[in-house]
Amino acid sequence: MSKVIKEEKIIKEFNTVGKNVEKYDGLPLATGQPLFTDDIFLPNMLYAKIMTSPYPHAEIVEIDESEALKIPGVRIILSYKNTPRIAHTTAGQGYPEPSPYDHFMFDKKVRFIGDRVCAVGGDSIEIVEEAISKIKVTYKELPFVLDPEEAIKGDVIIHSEDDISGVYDKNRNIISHVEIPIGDVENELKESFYKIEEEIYFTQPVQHTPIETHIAITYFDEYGNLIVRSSTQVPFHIRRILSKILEFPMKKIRVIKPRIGGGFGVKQELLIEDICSLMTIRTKRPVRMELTRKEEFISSRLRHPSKIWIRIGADKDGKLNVIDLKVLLNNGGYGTHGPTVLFNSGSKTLPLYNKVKAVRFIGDAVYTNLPVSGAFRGYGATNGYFALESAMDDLANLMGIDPIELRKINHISEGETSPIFEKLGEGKEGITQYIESSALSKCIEIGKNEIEWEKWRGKRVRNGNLVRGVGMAIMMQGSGIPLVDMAGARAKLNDDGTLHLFIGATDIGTGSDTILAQILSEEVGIPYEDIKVYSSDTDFTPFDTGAYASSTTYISGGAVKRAGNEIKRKIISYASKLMNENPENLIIKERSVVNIITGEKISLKEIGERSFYDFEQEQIEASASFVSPKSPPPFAAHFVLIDLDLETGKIIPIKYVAVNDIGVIIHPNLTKGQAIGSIVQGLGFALTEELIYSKKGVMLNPSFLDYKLLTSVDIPEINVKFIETYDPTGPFGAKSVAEININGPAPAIRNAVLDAVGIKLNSLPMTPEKVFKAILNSGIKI
Amino acid sequence: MLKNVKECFYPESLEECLKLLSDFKENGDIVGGGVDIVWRERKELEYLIYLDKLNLNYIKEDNNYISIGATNTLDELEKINILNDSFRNAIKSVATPILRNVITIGGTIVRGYSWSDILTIFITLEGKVKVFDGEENILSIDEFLQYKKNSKKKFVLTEIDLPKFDDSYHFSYIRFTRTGNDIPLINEGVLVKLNGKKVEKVNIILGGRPGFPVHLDEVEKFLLNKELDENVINLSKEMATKTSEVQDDMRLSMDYRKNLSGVLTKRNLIKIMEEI
Amino acid sequence: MIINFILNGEEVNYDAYPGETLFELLRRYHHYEVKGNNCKTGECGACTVLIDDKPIPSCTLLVGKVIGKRVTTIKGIGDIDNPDLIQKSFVEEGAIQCGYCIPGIIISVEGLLRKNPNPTKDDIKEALSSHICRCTGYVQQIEAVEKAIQKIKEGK
Repeated sequence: MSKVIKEEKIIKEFNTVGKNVEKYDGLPLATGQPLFTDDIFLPNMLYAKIMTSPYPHAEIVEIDESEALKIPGVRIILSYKNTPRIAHTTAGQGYPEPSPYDHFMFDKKVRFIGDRVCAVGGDSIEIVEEAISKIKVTYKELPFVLDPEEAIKGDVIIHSEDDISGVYDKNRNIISHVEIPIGDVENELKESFYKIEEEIYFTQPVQHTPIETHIAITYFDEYGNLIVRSSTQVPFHIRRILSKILEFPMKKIRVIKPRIGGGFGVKQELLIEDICSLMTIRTKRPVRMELTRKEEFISSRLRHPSKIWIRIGADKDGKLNVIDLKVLLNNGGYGTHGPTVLFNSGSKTLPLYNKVKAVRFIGDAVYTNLPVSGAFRGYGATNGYFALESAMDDLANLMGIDPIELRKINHISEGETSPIFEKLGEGKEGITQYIESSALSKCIEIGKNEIEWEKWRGKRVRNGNLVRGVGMAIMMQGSGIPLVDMAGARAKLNDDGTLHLFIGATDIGTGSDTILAQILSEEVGIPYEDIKVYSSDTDFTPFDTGAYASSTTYISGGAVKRAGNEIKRKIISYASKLMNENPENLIIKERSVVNIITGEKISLKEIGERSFYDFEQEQIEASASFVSPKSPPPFAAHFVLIDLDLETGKIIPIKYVAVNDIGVIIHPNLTKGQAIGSIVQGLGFALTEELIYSKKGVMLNPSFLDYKLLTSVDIPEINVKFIETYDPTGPFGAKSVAEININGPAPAIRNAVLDAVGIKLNSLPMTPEKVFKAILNSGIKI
Repeated sequence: MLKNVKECFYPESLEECLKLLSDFKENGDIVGGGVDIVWRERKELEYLIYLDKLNLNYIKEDNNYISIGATNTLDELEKINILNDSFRNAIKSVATPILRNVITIGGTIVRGYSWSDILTIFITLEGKVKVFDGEENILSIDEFLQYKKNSKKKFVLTEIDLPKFDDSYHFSYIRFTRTGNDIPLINEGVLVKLNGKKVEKVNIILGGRPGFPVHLDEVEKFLLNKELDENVINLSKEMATKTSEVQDDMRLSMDYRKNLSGVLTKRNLIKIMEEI
Repeated sequence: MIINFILNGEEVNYDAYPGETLFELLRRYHHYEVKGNNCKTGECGACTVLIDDKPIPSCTLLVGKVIGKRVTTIKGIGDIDNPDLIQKSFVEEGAIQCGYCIPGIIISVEGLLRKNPNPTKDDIKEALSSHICRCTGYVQQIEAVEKAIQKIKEGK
């Protein structure tokens, strides 16, 4: 029995929730079962590959496939010449999508090095590669622009097509522009006793690097249905968009998501499924496409590189008066998630300091001729927090107070709201939210002690050429998109007393199949082992928006809880007829329906059998959906202890402490895994990961040789702790944990460096060479 | 897949091996671990020549040398316990554990990437290689790099010899990386022969500059007959920074490499000093 | 070219392309025995198999080097009904999220334990450094290996 305790009072006691049940796909994954997209064998399969642009900006004058078509085994070549031209967004979002319809399957123009030119399908990958080498494309090179501040001038226009829509200002390459002033920002800044005036922060392009790259296999089944088997986070969105752009009836499309090898947002896109599908439609053969690691870097999606300006004003006793945040996102050649990432960089950050008298958010997402940025765990908040939490430390420094004190005076608390919630939503206006659960102050206290803040802060302890520093950052995120994200769930009773659970929810390795089964188990009162889960098949499971926006536990969990409640009611109702007893005296316990007064019981197995075969026969099942006007934020406080090697500039993280309030924990190990995984990704973002472009827009390091991820020997001691709160609207009190922790490492480490040597590192990643140069320039003696 | 490869050969003598190489010319090549061959995917490669039947996987010792057969994988070299574990630690820092199980010492030296840890380590330790091109040649690593560049003959590298060092020798190797499984962005090996605390002989080899490993001659000259202490080491660091010949590349700037050459020198010497 | 070797205890022979790698061969004949996207540099470690007890990335290994060797893939370690201790420990400690890197990691750990049944935490971290896991951040994987070693010592 696990318990949720709030201030020494036991709120709830659970049977399955809070337990480390065996992960639903744990043993199959550990024993290498054929669970992934590629793990099926289809005879007569074609292999497909995309030929990509060598120029950052060019018109395609002519494509000569004649030599390629002569190669035996080349079966189909797709280009703008022979594919439908239907503008769409590749972003996997709810319809109508808050993103521009600026993408075509194949256009007559290319907008970044790596953009689609044409695609070849053939009997083997070697044949296809040879065919691509023989296709002669004539380009007319166009002037290109790589810097968003240049792009805004409008000298080079990247999207001039008449048949696209949803772009804020094509003539200035602005995909999305937002300006939300609340209160009198300039005046409040003027009146502020302490000011941080115009600090500028830079974040770099990084990639998700899922170990399984994008892969899809499409084929026709016996009934002529198009089956799309894809490593995707958004099967239902894929089905909808495919139907539209292929002009193929949705009812004949089935999207299946098997186990996938990581997503983190890069698979919240329609990236390759359209090409495979069209090839299957035309050749009638199965088609397989897998991106190479290099293609995954260049031609999939990235986290937006950004430039962020921030101004903060506070009064004499440390209360923040005003925050002015301006974000510029370098979106690359297409819009996709640009608008919503932009909004999130403000909507997930600014409410944290809700007591300001004025706040302003200004943002632009801008086209450039670079590889495309899209959804990446954190989704804009990661960029925003680097700036906000770094500036907060600078302000504390200016004021001569402890950064923790500054946070404590100003952060949002239970019962409070922020005007930002209403003004900034998903690419449009949002919805007012009140914080109904928050243990942020406790998280800060516990983390502070765990890292031994007082012992290290300001002391700059030296050990040879190493100097020690501590830094911290606080953060919040959201749980689903309010009134937008919806999930469905269905449960049915079998004649062995077990349940099937059908959910649209997309398990991308996160373990949602597991925790959703736990929620059902808890709600109905049957063992976790008695539940079989099927998920993410657009023909067999109910709808779900997909794995993004930290929505699965809260929204999909909400649907499962409702369905569980409903099927429990139906089981008891049926049993009451069988047992001739008032349903109010019946509960489900120990795989039976039990009369709490007489002790009489009937097994669920018997109920299943009789309901199928001989007594008032029916299929006992229940469906439910969940959508919420609320998006209860999880909160976290991060602390890091570093050594800075003054001779090399290398930052060595020694201990990392993250204290989370994510509501009630459904599965401790999976929750811990989400937190630690996010932190290690955040550490890479802070210290080592960076994609580098040449002056011509060539990505210079699209491989693990020069795109460096932290390994097992690089990680610090990582300590994640959870303070459970009970959110009244979450399933059994749960909120979400998928994204929040990735926002901490960059500002926490930057602030630790500030503590150690007094240097402000405002540009990521904080590589040894960068830090060393900053140390030299500052004149610190080594 | 190397799709143009037609046939694999397992010659049973060095002569047979050479004959195959000269018959096949640029269409044939020797497979060491094969890692480089798989990755490079040279289109002209049609014949692969394996050395498995030549019994080149021995590690022998006599009074003067440790002789390492060329087909030994790097993990086998971890068993060589000389110079107070420092050689073993240097080998263990190369690549990753799984790659060390397949990369061969011979293949690494023949391929000879300028930033290669192995080149720096073996040049520092004055290793020699045996090269068969019809007759047996014994060359230092530097001589081999020249030989490879200039010789028109086909050859097989058969053995690498390490001198046996007595207790008066100390070795340290440092590689500077971005993460734990990286290639070295700059590396340095230091071998010192001490008479008491006095430096009788010293090799300081800087590699990954990004060019091929070279001696830091001025620092070596400076250190001769000095006693290793904090002051001498700091002066060595300054001299290394000043005199090292390094360049820019995509990974590190020249200035930063210069700084690192000093830092690596200092840290290698400190490690050695602490060993005494 | 006919290649014969011992795969998970069973003698096998295949008609291989002389220039292909073990990864490509296994995917052609056994389809899902190895995960990975054939990067040919061994950089992520997902395709790792044991060759005579040594973990090696199969995408770097030419078939010509495999003749007569003992090859062990994840299927030779354990299955759903009978997982070995390492596999069980990984499941129990939350060391598996998407699972794509897991077969390679488990093979590496097996290789480590066959060479050194008493590894230190640093030895375990070093063995894992051959592998990129983007999901877990490695902490629970290290714990899973430590717990498994403890169980082995206790004779479970």
